Amino acid sequence: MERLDLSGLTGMTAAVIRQVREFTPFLRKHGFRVGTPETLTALRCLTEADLSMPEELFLALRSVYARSPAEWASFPHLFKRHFLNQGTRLEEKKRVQAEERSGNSRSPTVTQDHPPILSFAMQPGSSPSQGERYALQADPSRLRAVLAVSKRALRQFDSPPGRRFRRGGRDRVNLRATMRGSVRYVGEPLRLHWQQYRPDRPSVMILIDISGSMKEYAPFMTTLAWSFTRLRLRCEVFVFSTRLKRVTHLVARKAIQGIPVSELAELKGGTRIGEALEELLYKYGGLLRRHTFVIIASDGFDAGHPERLRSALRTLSERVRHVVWLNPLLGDPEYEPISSGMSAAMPYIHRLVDVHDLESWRQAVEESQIFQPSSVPVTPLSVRTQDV
Amino acid sequence: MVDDRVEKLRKHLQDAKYVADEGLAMVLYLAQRLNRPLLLEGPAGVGKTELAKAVSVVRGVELIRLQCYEGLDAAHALYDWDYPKQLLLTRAAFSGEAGGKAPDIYTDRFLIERPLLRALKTKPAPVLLIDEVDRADEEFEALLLEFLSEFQITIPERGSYRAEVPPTVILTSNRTRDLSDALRRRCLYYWLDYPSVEQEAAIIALHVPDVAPTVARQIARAVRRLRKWSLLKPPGLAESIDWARAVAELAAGELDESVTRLTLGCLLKTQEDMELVREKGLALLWNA
Repeated sequence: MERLDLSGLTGMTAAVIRQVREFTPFLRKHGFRVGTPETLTALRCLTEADLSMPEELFLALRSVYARSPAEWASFPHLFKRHFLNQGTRLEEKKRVQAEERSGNSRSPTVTQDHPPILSFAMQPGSSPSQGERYALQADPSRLRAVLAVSKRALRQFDSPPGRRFRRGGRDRVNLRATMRGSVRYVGEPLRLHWQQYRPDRPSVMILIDISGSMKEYAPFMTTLAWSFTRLRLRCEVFVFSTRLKRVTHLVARKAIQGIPVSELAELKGGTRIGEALEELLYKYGGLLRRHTFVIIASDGFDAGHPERLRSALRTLSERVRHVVWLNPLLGDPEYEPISSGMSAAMPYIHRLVDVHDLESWRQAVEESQIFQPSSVPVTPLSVRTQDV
Repeated sequence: MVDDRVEKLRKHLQDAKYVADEGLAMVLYLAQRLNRPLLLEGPAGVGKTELAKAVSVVRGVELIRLQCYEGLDAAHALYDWDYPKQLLLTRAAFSGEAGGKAPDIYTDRFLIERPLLRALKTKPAPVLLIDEVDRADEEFEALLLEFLSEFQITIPERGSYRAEVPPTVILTSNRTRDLSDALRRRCLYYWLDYPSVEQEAAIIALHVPDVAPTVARQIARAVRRLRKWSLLKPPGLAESIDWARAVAELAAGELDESVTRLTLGCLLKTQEDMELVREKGLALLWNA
């Protein structure tokens, strides 16, 4: 625990200390994971800063409390609200009646027959200029069940040998332990110590299409992504529409209460899967290892150039272990995956399965064994559309 | 009064050819005063590593750099024992050459200092740069925790080493993976973004004095525009400086279409980006 020298605080009034102390719970309410150590550090910073200058106070506290780019961006607004009493107050969740939602705000109040609907600031917002955009929220009632199925899915991943070793096994002689042990025998390496490669944690990358056509399936896909972040594996989550955004930390921490539209500001309406995959390859290529399992959740309706999708997916499938495409529309008997996007993608994916809810997810994992890597060479891939 | 000290730090950094804004200078000042490591995150090429170099120049101390990579472990980052020497001494002792006394093989003589231990023992306290910490494994992050909170390393055979004067520690990350909360909470945090046009022009002028101020501003505006075009590899500060150097080398008084075409390779590093910029038109750049 950090120690605070009280003599340094003599320049501060009790009111200032109280205000700083209350700032931590205020930030926690807005998703910051901060506690007493941060309060103590902030107070220490204040002994260095000039309290009469809000800018200085702001700069000091920002570096203490913000820990990620998202927190870095939202901090100025929260600082103004708490210390300067400025900015909008969205704290109270507005209770909106059904009639209000339909635009008729002057209608009589709703009776018991109409249960009140909570409207969160993070709920879907759409604007014709930006295409349809919506917030992401995991389905709280399904979390446990989806997590249980995802745990079973984890058993299908093969754990590759890592770079690190553990004692025992017969992969290699552990020279360091052997030499150290030989000191006991006057430098003669009488006893060989062995080591073997430690299995690496499986690595999974989930790409979720959040274009308008996938809106209906977004809660389930978000729940699915959240469940993977709770397992013992290396998991990265991305969402895409016309562009790509990495949301691993948002899904891991905020998926339950919801990821607001403002967090996904750079993503516009429409779908360009090829461009998004290209961005993934160039910007986050380091995350794609030869043992990575890639899960793409999309209906395959693509407004981009099919050739870009084909080329990007080919490169992706060459670099990773296994590509699974979850298409929520496959369960519909009238649907056929013949859209330009799906046709371009088919040759380069290992499994194309219908996953749109908990039952279909369980079926895909338990019956179809979708994460069992095939022994067939990766390129060219044979299409396995067992559920089609 | 604090303002004066922060301003002074900014000036010193500028003398070391690093242009820092008020926020960065303030955080750097606080990190030194509170003896806290500073975690810098931001896009590639905004000058995170350069800051550590500049701080070492300003303070006139050694810069110790630990470049992180996957598989980095304690033996490469903290310390290691010199096993061959230990073995030779042991053999000599048992063959009677060392007077038959049981040798102590866990002394400083056999301790190989790796960057973190060296940072604790070096006087005056150096600047320690732990570069691209996100590339190392999670296990390595756990190793760092003791060092970052206590400026101390525990060697089971010897006990703990603690720095008399803590080094200035700067960690950088490009966010190829999320760092643990435990590591983040030990550091002060700063998100280092691309500079404003004025700042970038000042940086260019500082590094390439031959280039005219108007051209420096033109270059800064053009690069800023390029960064908004969702390129596969957006140009960083190093690219801007390279471009300015190339323009100065061509002795061009101002940017025009031919100069831009000739020097585009300084800015763009992939064929796809080149095509995109050519499609949009070079005029958008040199007219910026």
